[in-house]
Formats: sequence, structure tokens, C-alpha cells
Amino acid sequence: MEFLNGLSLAGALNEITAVTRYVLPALALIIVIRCAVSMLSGRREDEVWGYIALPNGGRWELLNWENIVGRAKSSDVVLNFKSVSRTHAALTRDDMGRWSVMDLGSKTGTKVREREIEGPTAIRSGDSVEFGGVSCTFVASTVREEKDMAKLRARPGLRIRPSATMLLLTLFTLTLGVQHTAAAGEELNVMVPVTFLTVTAVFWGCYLITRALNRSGFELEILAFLLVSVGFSVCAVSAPEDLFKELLCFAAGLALYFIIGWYLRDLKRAKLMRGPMAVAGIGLLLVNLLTAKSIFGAKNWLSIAGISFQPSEFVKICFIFTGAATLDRLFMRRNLIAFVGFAAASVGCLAAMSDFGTAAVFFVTYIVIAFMRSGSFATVFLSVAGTGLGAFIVMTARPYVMKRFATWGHAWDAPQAGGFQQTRTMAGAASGGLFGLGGGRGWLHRVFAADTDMVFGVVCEELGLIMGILTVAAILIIAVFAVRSAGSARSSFYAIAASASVTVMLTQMILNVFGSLDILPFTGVTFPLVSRGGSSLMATLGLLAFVKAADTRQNASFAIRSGRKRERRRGKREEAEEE
Amino acid sequence: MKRVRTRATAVALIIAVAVGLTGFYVARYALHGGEWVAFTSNGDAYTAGKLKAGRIVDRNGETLYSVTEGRGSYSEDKLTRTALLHSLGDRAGNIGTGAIYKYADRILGYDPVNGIYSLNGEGGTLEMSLDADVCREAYSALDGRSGAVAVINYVTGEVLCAVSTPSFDPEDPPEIAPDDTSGVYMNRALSAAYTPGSVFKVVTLAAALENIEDIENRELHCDGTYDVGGGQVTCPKAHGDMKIEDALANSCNCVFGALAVELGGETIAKYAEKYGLLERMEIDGILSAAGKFDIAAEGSLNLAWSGVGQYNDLVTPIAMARLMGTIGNSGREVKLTQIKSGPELGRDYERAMMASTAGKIDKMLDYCVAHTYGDENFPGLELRAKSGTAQVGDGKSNAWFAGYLADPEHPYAFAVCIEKGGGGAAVAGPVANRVLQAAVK
Ligand SMILES: [Zn+2]
Repeated sequence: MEFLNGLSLAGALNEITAVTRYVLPALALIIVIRCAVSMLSGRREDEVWGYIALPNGGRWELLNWENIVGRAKSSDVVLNFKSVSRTHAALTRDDMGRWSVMDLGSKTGTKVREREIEGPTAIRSGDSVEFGGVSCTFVASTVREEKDMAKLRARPGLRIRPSATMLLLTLFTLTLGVQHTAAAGEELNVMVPVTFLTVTAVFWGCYLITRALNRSGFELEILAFLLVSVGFSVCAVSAPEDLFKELLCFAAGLALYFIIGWYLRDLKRAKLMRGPMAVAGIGLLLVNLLTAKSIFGAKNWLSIAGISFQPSEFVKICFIFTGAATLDRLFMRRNLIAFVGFAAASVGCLAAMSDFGTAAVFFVTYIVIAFMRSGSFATVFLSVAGTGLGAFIVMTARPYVMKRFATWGHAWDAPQAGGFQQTRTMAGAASGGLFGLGGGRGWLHRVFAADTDMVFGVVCEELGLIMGILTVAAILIIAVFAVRSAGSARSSFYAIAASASVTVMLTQMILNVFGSLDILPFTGVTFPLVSRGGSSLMATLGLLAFVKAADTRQNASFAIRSGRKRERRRGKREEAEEE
Repeated sequence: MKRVRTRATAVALIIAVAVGLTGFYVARYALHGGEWVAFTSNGDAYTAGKLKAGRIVDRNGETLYSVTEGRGSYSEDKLTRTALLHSLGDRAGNIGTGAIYKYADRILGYDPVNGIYSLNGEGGTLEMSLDADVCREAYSALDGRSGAVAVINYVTGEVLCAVSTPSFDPEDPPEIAPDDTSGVYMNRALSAAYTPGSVFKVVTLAAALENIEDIENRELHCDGTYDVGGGQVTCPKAHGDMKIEDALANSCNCVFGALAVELGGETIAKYAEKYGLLERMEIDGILSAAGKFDIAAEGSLNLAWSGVGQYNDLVTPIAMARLMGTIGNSGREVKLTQIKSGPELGRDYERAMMASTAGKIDKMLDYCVAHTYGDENFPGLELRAKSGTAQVGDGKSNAWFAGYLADPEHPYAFAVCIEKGGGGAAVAGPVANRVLQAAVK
């Protein structure tokens, strides 16, 4: 029984790491590739929801639920007549298949059934609509046509089965658990293996819920879960005593994900949330600003009944709700001004809290939203210039922020001062090479805030550069997916919300990773889903729901109604009308 | 919607930024990963500033330094410890050019693929190009005198020996006052620039061969003194009539002083520069000291003296050894390293000297050894060498002996410098012999 003595046990445990350090990145790579191919391949078929018949006999197909009619080439329905305004009117469909038209402040007005309209006016298939004197006929697709179209639409999960990817993810997470258990040896905290088992069970729970809802798109979740697994790996080594809390937050975050996703199914309902969300967002920030205690320089923590959380994380969700807008509202300046005010207040509050990282995230997201809404570089530029100036004034008033900028790019000149965290991140990351030292075998996690602000270093150190790059890639794939989805989203509300959500994640990821590597200024924001911290984890999962709501692939997303029941009802109505 | 769709590509811009930055980081990692790992605050590699694991061996596999359970120890043999002190570095880190500090990433076993991972945390093995036998012999031969011995392989660029004295036993370091001026922490082979004396005549010779027509057939003459610029260059005796090879073998100051005046300071400086005597040489990131050649006024006494390695001339032993190697390698200058090279061919050569010039100097140095130093003093060695007795004031001289072996089996070049040692060939020559005998064994 010689192999049971301590020394060879340690040797055996070391050999577990020796093998699994290659297994983990390989599994992660396959998972990421499978998800990427499934999410990004496949042509998006145009969906035809109706058409506008022109007086000259031509027709314009309506490819979205929200369409702009106007003289401008960028309109969805281009009417090249002098009497038609550049942006003349909006034609929108709801998920009941009901259409309405709204004049967008055109000079020559819009008529439905020969009557001048004011505000949104319902139209039916066959109605005559006059845009600035140009008489057209509106025809909606029938239920049968829509059904035929649905058959053509890309349907995920046929070529690349999510169940197989889930198995790989399971293997990945359990291997991580084994690695951490082996590394801990006799000092094992029993929560470590328990956590990895529980997390795996939760992953499968979510998968089964999605299957039960008859939805086959699960790549987004798998990518998120991959990041969550890596995040738990970081937590297991840096703060095993916090694993239980982190697990609870993960569960709460998933609940938030499903609730927001379900809520977003109904566009009308979602739109209603804008006002309350704006109030809630500013309220959270103000409460934070007035009562929060300053932890580590930034005043962004709030403690209620012994649980501390970061309100600014949840404000991100409010921000998305407030910033997204349906197409008919996009062209009303008043709405944009209200949003600009909200954004300025948010960034201002965050700057006052000295949370410049998060302020930067909000700021970039604001730029994306403002651009998507206005499409005008001038508007964006003006507001950016204004905010930039404000930020500059705030920054010069706070010497410690200036100091950070002074260190930027020169971390190695001051490794024990301004470059303290960055130099250690780079050293730890290099120690790991491409495959890492093995989960639980690093040192970097002992440095203060390593598991949040310097988490990329911890991941590279223990799991290797390949894994580090794959975590970045996972976020990028989600972002590309959101951009693609935005193109075919049924409402600009979903398109803007999805784009803004991924902008938040992207900006955080960029600031976190490249800030800790001294390529950008070190601002101390979290890496979405990977950094330790319950608030951030929950809020990011909430943000993912907006991406899910823009996924219009057939039967892909639980956040989009399949609408079978409604179709049946509408189908009957149409048949009755035909008779 | 078409507009919103187009505008969503704004996000693509951010994605592109992320991709670009990731690529930038990967490139930086590939270039600097080793330096990052070697950062003494890296807890994966160091405990309280001391290397966690790894060992250093010489080119024959002899362990020079090893870390076990977080504690570093030198060789068990005191002579080895003392001889290799400057190459390895001391515990306290006073010798910053030591391998323990400069090659930490390799000792840890770092490579960009595996990082510093090793199965049982045993670290890596740094295989140095040094030959402990040669180093021990060099230290013993210096016999308590201050100085340096540098030996390189002029084909592979490997440094076999860079011994510096005075030295001490790193396992038992003496009390050294902070204001100590002996330079005990300095590796003199790399970091000390000495007045070269007559070994510098090789440079003046090369310049003359390439710039003065028919110099090889010119009849030269020495009366024992050469009057120039209101002063006098002297020889120990009148050398009489001779050709250039005899002038070199006799180490005639008058002839070389006159050649220097004929060539001009700028020409000689150009050659000293070209042969790498003036630059701070880089050996795996360790910088040597710079040499010096001040251009004296046209027709001046100083110019004459600068041509025979006096005046303000300064050269490091390692640079002199490399120049000798360049002559031995037909004018191709090799890049030096302290890491053992693999068997691969295709070295990093730079054409520093015309092959024809190198060939002519080779013949003259061969003649020099045969006529002046005596082949019998260097048994079995295909030696080419030049001595130098460099006056450094108060009547003392630095003893130099530098050269190479014209032996494809043992392509070694060397430089020995003994501070205030006296006559070059008599004092430094025997040291060179002992070291070379150890090297070819
Ligand atoms: Zn003479």
C-alpha cells in the first residue's frame, strides 16, 4: 500500500493537474466553437410581413414589424416623390398581427381611407394609405403565408445539438471541480466540490426548462455558463468561504434572466416599463450616493441587512430599458432629450461616487444608444463633447484618478506603486503560459481585488492564456450575435436593447482585461460573469435576457412568443373575412 | 428598421477594438512573458524575493546552483563557488549581472507555451554555456591578483568563462563596506574597461592593411624613439629595420605610433567602432561596459599613443576576446550568449572585418607567437595571440594577453587582463595557457 502515503498522493494529485490542464482549454475551445457556429452561421431569411402596393404597380415588401416610409434611401419603404418627406410615416405591426400607421411629423400628412390621421391609426389589409398625396395600398401577409415563412426561417439546434454541447460543458465544469479538489489536497473546503456539482445541476435545470418551453436555442446560455464556471473557479481559489453566497446570487441572477426574458415577450408591456425604470435607476443611484459607504476608494457599495451590493450594477438594466425605444418614438426629439438627461444624471452620479470605470461603461453605452436612436453623428458628438468636458473637470478635481492615468502604460516603471496591480497581473498571467498552472494552484488571487479587477490575470495564471482568450471570445461572440439579431429584430426596441446590453458587457470586459494588463487605464470594473461579485453576476444575467429577446430564429428564444395560439385565432378571423 | 440595422454595426466597432487589443496583448506576452515571470514580486516564481525552484548547470551538466524547497544553494565546492560568483550572482543581489537574476525565467523553466508549470514544482534547468573547469582554472591562475579572464567560442558565440577577481564565497560572504572601492561586485570581464596597451595594435594594424597601400611591403624603421607633435613615442629599444609583421611581433610603438598619425584618429576610431570595442555589448540582455577611443588632434603625440592602445583608450576583456574571435572566424563577428547552444547551424554572424584582412592578421599573430612568445610555452595549442603591457600611471602596467586558437575543434578566443600585473606576455601569458589547456581538454 505504498502508493497511499502522503508523498505519492501529492504526486498523484499533481498528475491530475498535469493532464487536466490540457483537457480544460480543449473542452472550452470546442464549446465556444460549437456555440459560435450555431449562433453565427446560417443565413437569416428575410421575413415578409406584408407589402405596400404603389400607384405605378410596383410593391415594397415589409420585412420588419416596424417600417419607416419616406423619401430617404435609408427608409424601409422608399417613396421617391417630392411631396413625401424624407422620414414620413411609420408602419408597425404588433404580435397579434395588427398593423397601424403613424405620421412622423411630415409636411404633407398621411391619410388612411382618405382621412387625415393624427396619432397611431389602425389599418387593415387592403386599406388605401396616402403618404403626401401618393396613394398606396397596404396588404398584410396572411396567417398561411406567415406559417410558410416560419418553415423557411433558420432554426437552431438541428445541425449542432445543444445537448451535446451541454455534455461538454458538464465535463468542463466537473473537470474544473476535480482540479480544484486535487489542488486543495488536505485543506479542501467541502464547498468547492459541492459548488461545481451544484452549478452543473443548475445548468441542466435551465436547459430542461428551455426544452420544456419547446425552445431549441441554448447557445447564449451555454456561453454564459462557460464564463460562470470559470468565475466559480476563480471564487473557489480566492474566497471558498463565499462560494455559497455566490451560488445564491447565481440562482437569483438566473431568476432575473427568466423574469426579464418573459417580460420582454410583450412589447407593449416592455415599453410601459421605461418611465418606472428611469425613476428606479436614478433613485438607486441617489440612495447610493447619499448613504453608501466608501469601500476601497469608490463609493459604490450599499449594505442592507448585512448583504452588501452594488446598486450601479442594477442601474445598468434600468439604463437599457430607458434607452431602448420603438421606431415610432425614435423620431421624436423629445424622447431623445429625456434619455440624454437620464444618461447624464447616471454618469454624473457615478462620477460623484468616484466609480469612473462604471461611469465609462455607461458613457460608451450611452453613445451606442444615442447613435442607434438618432443616427446623427452631430447629436452624438455634441453630447459626447459636453460629457467629456464634464468628466475632465471631475477628473482634474480628483488627484487619484489623474494618478491612474499617469501610470497608464508605465506600470513597470512603478511596480510597487501605481503599477502594483498591473505588473502582478502580467506576471501571474505569464506564469500560467498557454495552459495554466492548474485551478487552485496560483498565487495571484492573494493580491487584493485580484478576483474582480485583475480576474483575467487569475484566469490566465491558473487556466492559461487560451482560456483567457476564450473568455474574451465568448463575450465577443455574444456581441456579434446581438448585432446580427438586431438586424432582424421585430422591433427597434429589441434591437437597441440587445445592442446596448452587449455594449455594457463588451466595455466592461475591455476595461477589465486591458486595464489590468496596462494596455488601457486601470479603472477597476468587473469582467461580466467571471469576476467574483453577486451584484455583477446577477445584473449581467439580467442583461443577457435582452439579447435573448432579440433572437428571432424560429423557436429559438423563450423570450419570444411562438404565437401559435394567436395565429390560430387570427387564422379563423381571416377565413371568416374571406367568406 | 433598416436604419437601426445599419446603426447596430456601431457595436462592431467596439468588437473590433477588443479583437485588436487582444492581438496586441498576445504579441506583448510572446515578447515579454519571460521578463514578466521574472518579476521578483511574482509569487508563482518567488517567495520573499527568492526563486522558488530550478537549477543552473554548466555546459557539462555540473550543478552550479539549485533551489530546493525554496532555498537556493551554490556548488558544494568552494573554488567553484568563488570562481563562478560573478557569473551566477550573490544571494543579496549585489551582483546584478548574475545569472540568478538575469536568467530567472529560464531557471524557473519558463516558456511561452507552458509558462512556469512543472509537474512537481521542480522548476527548470538553465544550461549555461560556461565551463566550470575553465572558470576554476582561470580563478586559480589569477592567483589572488585582480583581473579578468574571458573565453568564448567564436563559432557559436558561447561564453565559456567570464571570471573576475577579487571574488568571494557566496555561501560565506565577507563584510563589505558600502563605500568599498575594490569593485568586488563588478564582473570585470564584462563591466570593466581597461587601457588595452599593445593588444590594441591589432586594430591599428587592420586599419593600416586596409587603408595604406602596399603596407605589407613597406620598409619600416625604429630608432627607439619617434618624435611627433612636440613629444616622443618610445620603444624599450631600437628595433631597427623591419616589415610590418616584425613590427607587430616586436610590438614596436614607434612604427605603430607613426602609422596611427598617418591613418588619423578618425580612421582608427572607425575601426574600433566597427570591431565592437566601443559599444555596450549585449549578452542575453546583460550589457557590458562601453569602450573608449578619443580622437586626438591630427599629427599630435596623443594620436600616436592612441594608436598603440594608450592615451584615453579603454576596452573590456569580453570585447577584446570577441574581436580576437572575429579574426579567427575570418572576419565574422558572432553574437555572444551565456546560454548553451544547441547543435543547430546557421549562427548570427555579422561581417565585421574583411576576410582578407583577417587572414593577413592571422598569419602575423601566428608569427608573433612563434617568434616572441614561444610555441613551447603553449604546448599543443594552435595559438594566435598578442600581448599588451598597458601603462596606467604610477609606474604600473596592466598585463594583457588576448588571442584565439586556430583550431576548428576548439574555436576559442580569449582575453586575460591582470590589473597592475606587469609585463603582458610574461604575466598574462601563463594564465592564458592554463585556461586554454583546461578549455581544450
Ligand atoms: Zn620600436
